[in-house]
Amino acid sequence: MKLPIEVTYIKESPSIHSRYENLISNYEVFKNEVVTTVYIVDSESERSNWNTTLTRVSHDNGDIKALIFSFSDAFDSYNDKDRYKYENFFRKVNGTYNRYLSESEDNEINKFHQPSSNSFLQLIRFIPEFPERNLEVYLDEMTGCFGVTIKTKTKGKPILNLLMKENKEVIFSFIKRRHKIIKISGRAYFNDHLEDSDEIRKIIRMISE
Amino acid sequence: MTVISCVNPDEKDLQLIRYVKPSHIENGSATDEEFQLREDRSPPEEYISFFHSTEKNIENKIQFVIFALRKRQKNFAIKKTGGFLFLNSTQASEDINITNEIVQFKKCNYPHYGMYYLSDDIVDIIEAKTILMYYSELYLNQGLERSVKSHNQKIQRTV
Repeated sequence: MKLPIEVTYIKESPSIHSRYENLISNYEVFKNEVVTTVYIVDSESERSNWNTTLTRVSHDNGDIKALIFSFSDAFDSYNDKDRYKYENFFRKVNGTYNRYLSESEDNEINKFHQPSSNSFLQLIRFIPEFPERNLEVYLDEMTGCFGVTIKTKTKGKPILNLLMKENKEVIFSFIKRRHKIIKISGRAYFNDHLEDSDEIRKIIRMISE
Repeated sequence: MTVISCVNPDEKDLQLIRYVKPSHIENGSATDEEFQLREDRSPPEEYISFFHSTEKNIENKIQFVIFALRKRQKNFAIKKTGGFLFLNSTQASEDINITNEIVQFKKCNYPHYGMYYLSDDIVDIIEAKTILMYYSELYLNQGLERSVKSHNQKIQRTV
């Protein structure tokens, strides 16, 4: 069964209807609703869906592996496009996490910091806003916090690096070259209200512009 | 115990080389993890290690670094899926240190160099690591496998 999505009902408008016809057919529209046209606010519906999932999946355990499994189960109800995006992101996180643990276990003298489940939750919170391509997930050995780097091949080959701290701060650094080096770095805080999560777009926009 | 004194490098456009293990390579580039200082080491890491080579071409430079690594650590394993990153340390440190002194490269028992973090502010560190990634050029071992293999055989013959 597909999850209900957030839709905005508007008055009949053939041009908008034809523009979103394909999208609409991908979703289940509530049968009892009498509507002439459905306008799907794509990014908002994805964010809203993800907020629902984040709230629904229990975080009590704090075990990252268990969290990864719980979230992965939730994607069964997603449409194909979103499921691919989320599964792909979780595959990257899982790969980074497993590699980190195995290197820590192999090393008898030096154990890395325990990966932070708060940082993990802070990382996956922003999946709707993250680009699907050119993104890599890493784990900081000094802090056990998760981070992502986003690289593009556009002019100046910019890099955006985001580290998700346990206290919900996001440490960011954007680097590119034009005539000389450009650096935009700092710390951001997006509180714990999931509906405020999309404000991270203001940082991600630096690399997507 | 030998005490190694480190000095400021006097070379211009100093190109340094560092071995990158497979888990620190994604999509043909070194990841952020490659520039992390691991304080939980025993003893804790004080700097990120690099090597310099005066060899003319990439393959010879890499072979020189493999030799230097094995001189420091006899059985140093070079993984087939690993690589070697090349960094213009002069340009990287100039750009990192424009407003604050964040990193310093030092010559510690040539051909070995160390990169020290001078700041413990997390924003400074993330910015420095991002610039280091920006200026790093990675050569994967897979493309250089034959030369590394023949070099390994040469070493085995001489041991």
